[in-house]
Amino acid sequence: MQNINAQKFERELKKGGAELLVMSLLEARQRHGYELRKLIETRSDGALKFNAASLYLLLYRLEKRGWIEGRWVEKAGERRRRFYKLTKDGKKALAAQRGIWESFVAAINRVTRPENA
Amino acid sequence: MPDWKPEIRQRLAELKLEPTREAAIIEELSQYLEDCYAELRASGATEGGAYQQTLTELNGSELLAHELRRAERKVTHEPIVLGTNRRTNMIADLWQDLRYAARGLRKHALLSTVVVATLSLGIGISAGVFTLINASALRARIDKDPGSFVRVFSSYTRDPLRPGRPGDTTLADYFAFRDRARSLRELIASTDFRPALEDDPSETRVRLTTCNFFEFYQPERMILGRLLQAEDCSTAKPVAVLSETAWRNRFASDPEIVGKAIHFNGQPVTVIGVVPRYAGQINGAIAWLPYTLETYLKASENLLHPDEAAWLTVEGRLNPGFSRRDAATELGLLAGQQDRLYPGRKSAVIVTDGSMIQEPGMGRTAVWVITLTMAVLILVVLITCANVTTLLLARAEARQQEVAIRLALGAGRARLIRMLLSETLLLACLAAPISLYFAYRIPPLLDGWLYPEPAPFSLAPDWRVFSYLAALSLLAGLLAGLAPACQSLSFDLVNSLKGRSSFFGRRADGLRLRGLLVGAQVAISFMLLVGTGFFVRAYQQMAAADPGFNTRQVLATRQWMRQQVPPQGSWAAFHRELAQRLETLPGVQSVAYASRLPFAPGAAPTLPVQVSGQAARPVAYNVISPEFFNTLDIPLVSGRAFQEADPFCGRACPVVVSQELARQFWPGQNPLGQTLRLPRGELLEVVGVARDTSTQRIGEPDDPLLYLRWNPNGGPLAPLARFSGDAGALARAVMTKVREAIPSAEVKTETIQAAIDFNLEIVWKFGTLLLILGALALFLAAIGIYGVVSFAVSQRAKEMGVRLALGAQKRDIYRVVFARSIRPIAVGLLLGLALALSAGAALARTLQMLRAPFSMNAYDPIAYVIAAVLFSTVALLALVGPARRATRVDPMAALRDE
Repeated sequence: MQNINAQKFERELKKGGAELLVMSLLEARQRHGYELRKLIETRSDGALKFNAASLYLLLYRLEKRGWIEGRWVEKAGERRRRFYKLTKDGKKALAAQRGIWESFVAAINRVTRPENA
Repeated sequence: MPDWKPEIRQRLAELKLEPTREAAIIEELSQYLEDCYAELRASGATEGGAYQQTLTELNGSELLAHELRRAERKVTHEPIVLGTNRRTNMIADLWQDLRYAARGLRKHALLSTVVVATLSLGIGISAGVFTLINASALRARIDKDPGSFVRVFSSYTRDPLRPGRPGDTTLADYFAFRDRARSLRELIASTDFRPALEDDPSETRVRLTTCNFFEFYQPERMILGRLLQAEDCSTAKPVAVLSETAWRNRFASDPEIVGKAIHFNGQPVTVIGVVPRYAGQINGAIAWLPYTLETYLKASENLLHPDEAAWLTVEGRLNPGFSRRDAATELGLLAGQQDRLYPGRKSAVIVTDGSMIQEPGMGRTAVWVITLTMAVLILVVLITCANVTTLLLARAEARQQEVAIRLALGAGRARLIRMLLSETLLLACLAAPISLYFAYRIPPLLDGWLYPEPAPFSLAPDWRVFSYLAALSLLAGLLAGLAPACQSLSFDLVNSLKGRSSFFGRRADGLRLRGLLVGAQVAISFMLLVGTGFFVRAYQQMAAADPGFNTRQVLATRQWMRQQVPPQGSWAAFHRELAQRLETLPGVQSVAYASRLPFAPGAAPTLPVQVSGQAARPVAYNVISPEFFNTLDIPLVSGRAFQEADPFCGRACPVVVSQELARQFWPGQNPLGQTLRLPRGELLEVVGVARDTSTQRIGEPDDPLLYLRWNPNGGPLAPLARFSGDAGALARAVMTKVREAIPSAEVKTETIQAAIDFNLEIVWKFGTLLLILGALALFLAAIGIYGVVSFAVSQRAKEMGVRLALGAQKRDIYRVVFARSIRPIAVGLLLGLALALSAGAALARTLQMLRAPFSMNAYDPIAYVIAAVLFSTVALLALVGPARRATRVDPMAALRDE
């Protein structure tokens, strides 16, 4: 790994991780923005938080890349909402990122595990 | 609940996003913030606290803005004020309209295809014929640089009161122009000449030219040998360049022809080259010879020396920086200087661009004929437009709701009209290239059909055709689109928005407009059909006409002579010798002479004659030899024919008159012995009355006609020979004899019937052309009627349903549909009748102006009746389909809809 300072490392980590988080949540079914935010917050027990600006930054970037697709959906008695779902390309990207993430975490774990002879 | 949109909009403001995209982002983010706020409130936060905390969600929005700036397309904002016409960003609007139009056309692909096909046909035929007219009459018949082409017309006179007729130029003047004019270059001179080729006495057209002719009219390539060069005009060696046609037809494509001698008027001439078809093939020339051979080939005439004989057509090019007016002024001055060499002569010069329409003496007639032809073609385009309009009107009806929404949202009417017009303009633009294809293809086809040989000059379209095509397409697009566009806009806004447009509540505007269009189509196509009828009737009458004399067994010989010098010492000797030679031919029964042959082009010459006590009036005359009546089988009703022994003129000159003349001058009296007085006082005494004939216009009896006894020494008259047996071989023999008698003459011999047949063919061809246009118009009108009535029927389905439910029979429904549709058709027929009458009169006048040897009756009832019957049948057939559909309306279904 390159010699990078801690702040930058955290940013890259968060960015890569955030993409992985959002795409994983969209894998099962389509969701709207606020739902994504709530899910991330509750499932991480409040450890991971997004605000609107950063969440939508991420969503529009993924959409532009063609990994996710937003669509206005109208339901009876409700106002319309924009739902996002994973595209075919997105599914491939998610599989790849998940693999990298898992081997990365495993590697980190192997390195950072306390040595107990 | 606070409104989050202004907060978000403020943060995105500087991005200048596309309005729809910006609205979507704002909507999405504000929903998010609303959810957030609602949750905070639910968990017990105060209004202020929840508001502040929710706002933190937008922290870091500069990053979002940064990201969006990279991803989204910027547009320039402009204020949108409802209900006004924006004047900014025309191009963007136009682009938007065009894209919208294109989508609309794709959606209605079938309709669009039919419209484009109809427009292409109408515009294409019109543009195609215009291309031919343009190539043959509006520009010089030269392929390269017609812009600098000039043709020089000189006129000479020795009578200061009577100006000369513009025409050919003398050789000396040509030299003066060529050597001294600064405004012109490459001046060439040439003339038509019709010698006999080899032993075939029938006329061959060749061109005697100056030897720079080929530098001017450059053929694309040589087939064999070389072209004329300067030294060919200075050496005495006779040479000729042959056309490919002559080389193939007359010399069996002999590959060794170069260097061989061929014979014109019996004189040997060496072939130096063979050229393919090119613009220099003026008047169908098949060979080009140096003008210096004129004396050599004509044997008895010499135009090269008498400097006053005008026999050359002069053409050239303008030098850069000079106009045709400059050239005319300069040549006028040069001609004035030349006049001093020939005391008493006064000359004038006209310089034209070489087009037929600028040709002196030709212009007015040409303009008239072209205008008439173009009028017919414009009519075809108008029918097409009317037809397309009716097709598009149905669509306009269907989209009233869309237009209503746009209007309710504040779109300006002018802007909407532009939007709707851009659709038909787009259709017209699609039709334009197809029409252009026609403009390239039709001229050669038409040319090949009208004339025996293809035109040697280029028929390709030029800027005039392109402008014509563009203007026509634009006009057609506007015409066809304006009515539907206005139709879409004129309606009841409230009802249209509700999507309710029942037949009973509808204003009748649309139907009236459609009726008008159908009427127009009917009128125009009826007029074209009547026009066809005129030609068909004229053809019938001409073919069945009895001219009152023998046309099939009489050979008439036309002879052209440039100089009126008798070859045998006197004209009397010439006439006597020629008659003897002709009478020796096997099959020839009698020979006569006349000053005017039957059906000769141009008007018959007239003499002012006076019956005592009446005013003098001009009467057509023919100067004839005594054998004339016998040769042509014209019986004398009373009195006698001329006799050789008749004294030429005693107290009075003997004269034979036609029955018509006798009827008009001495009604109810015996014409024999009556006298007529000529202006100078000579008396003519009627010795015989000949049966009426038709020699001017085929199928029409002649006006009063005077037969004057010839003076054999007065000048050359045209020989007529009655024969038995085969005309073809004898005609060649006659030509040979005439050429022997007068070698310098250009001769053409054919039966009188051949002249009639030639004219019949012209009428037939024009009739067929009109028939094609008329059939096309009829077809379009039938489609138009069908379309309109079907549409009206579908609009009235409910009414029909109600009628059927109330017990109406099929018969009644037919009656309703027919009664309502027949009015516009009947009005159209009446209008067409008026149009046909005036157009027929114009056509008859044109034929008279052209001195056509046939006439047309603009008031021929049969032409009108046939056209009306044909039209009504087709119209009824077009009505039957929709009417039948109307009878099959299910009353229940129709009523449910209401």
